[in-house]
Amino acid sequence: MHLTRILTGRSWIPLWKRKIPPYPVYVQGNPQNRIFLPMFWMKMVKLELNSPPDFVEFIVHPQMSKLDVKQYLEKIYKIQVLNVRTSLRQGKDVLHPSEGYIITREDDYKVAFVQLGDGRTFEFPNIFIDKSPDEKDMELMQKMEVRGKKKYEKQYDRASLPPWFR
Amino acid sequence: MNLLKHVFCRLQNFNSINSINNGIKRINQVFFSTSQSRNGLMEFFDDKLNWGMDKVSVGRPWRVDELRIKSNEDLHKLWYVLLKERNMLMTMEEEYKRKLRAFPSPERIFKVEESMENLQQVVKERNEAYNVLETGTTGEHHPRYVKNFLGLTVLKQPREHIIPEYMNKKYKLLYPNRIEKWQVKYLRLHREKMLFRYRYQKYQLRKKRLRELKDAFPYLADEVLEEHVPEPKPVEF
Repeated sequence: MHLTRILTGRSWIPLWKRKIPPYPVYVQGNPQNRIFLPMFWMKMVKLELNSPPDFVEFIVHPQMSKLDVKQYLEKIYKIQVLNVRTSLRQGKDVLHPSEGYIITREDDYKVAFVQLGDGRTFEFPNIFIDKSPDEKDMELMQKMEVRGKKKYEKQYDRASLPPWFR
Repeated sequence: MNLLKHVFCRLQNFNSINSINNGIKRINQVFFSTSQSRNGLMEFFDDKLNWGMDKVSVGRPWRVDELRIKSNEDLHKLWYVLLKERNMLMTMEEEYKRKLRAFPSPERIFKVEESMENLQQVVKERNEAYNVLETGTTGEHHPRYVKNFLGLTVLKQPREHIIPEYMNKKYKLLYPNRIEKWQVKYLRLHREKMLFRYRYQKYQLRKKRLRELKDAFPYLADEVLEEHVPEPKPVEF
């Protein structure tokens, strides 16, 4: 590793996970406080559902507000923003592979839906041409799940009966 | 020119013809062909050449000594380069995770973050030095101990206020920062109570320790016990 600092240990937290430090106390007569080195981060995610082409989804720092998202995009990335909506989401439960009880829960996160202004559109790029073997397996598993669910729904009124009698 | 080190490191694949040794030449070339033309939302994604690669070769993070030489303006620019780089890496990582693939050279995020931390350290040093030169203090607001209306010392966090403390009637009543004559009797009693509490805690701890030892070694002599767990010294008023 090229790292000069030791990154192990309980006290070390990555910079993107850290809390934003509070605004310094203003003393009368001083110039106005301004943020020169913002610590916010944003990462783009693909929208799951079909949506209008001018919508983009981001996972953002949980302390970011709507105005922060707008100014971040407009001032750093020079993108015109029409509207921003944010929502907090709970992290998924991590289950035990064989026993099935909850071990831990992933971190909660904030999502921002941005509507681009100036009549601009954006299409999420397709990075991989082929599907990986893991992805194919995953799709197959999901298909099987749906099939099982449909089968169960059909026999929902006869669920109490033994399977050979349905 | 050195400011573009991080961008330059990513662009190594573009100029794979150049050998590693002629560094100066390469920097000049990169200086005239930066990634600034790639604007908009595509800045959240890596170069197309790196898509789906097993390994992406990059340089090392910025060190503190290198950043100390730079001007404030350069540091300010570099911060935004690093910020964009980290955002890009995080989006790519998320996309790779969604597609169930391994993210190539994930240490890139650590490298960027380390250089960001180093930059913050340098800015903090400069800020402190400036404040010491101008005002004689570091400029940081720490909590301080103040005597309240009961004569007790309490830790007080600094807060923004419109009226200064020496002009604020309410504040002066709550935190006069001195002891009245009538408080002396009660303060002595309070101190006595605290001392008794402290002594009692010590006594309890010793009792617990002795019990543990007795359980572990039931035939221990009293002298040995006293050696290991001595009686606490009496606290003077």
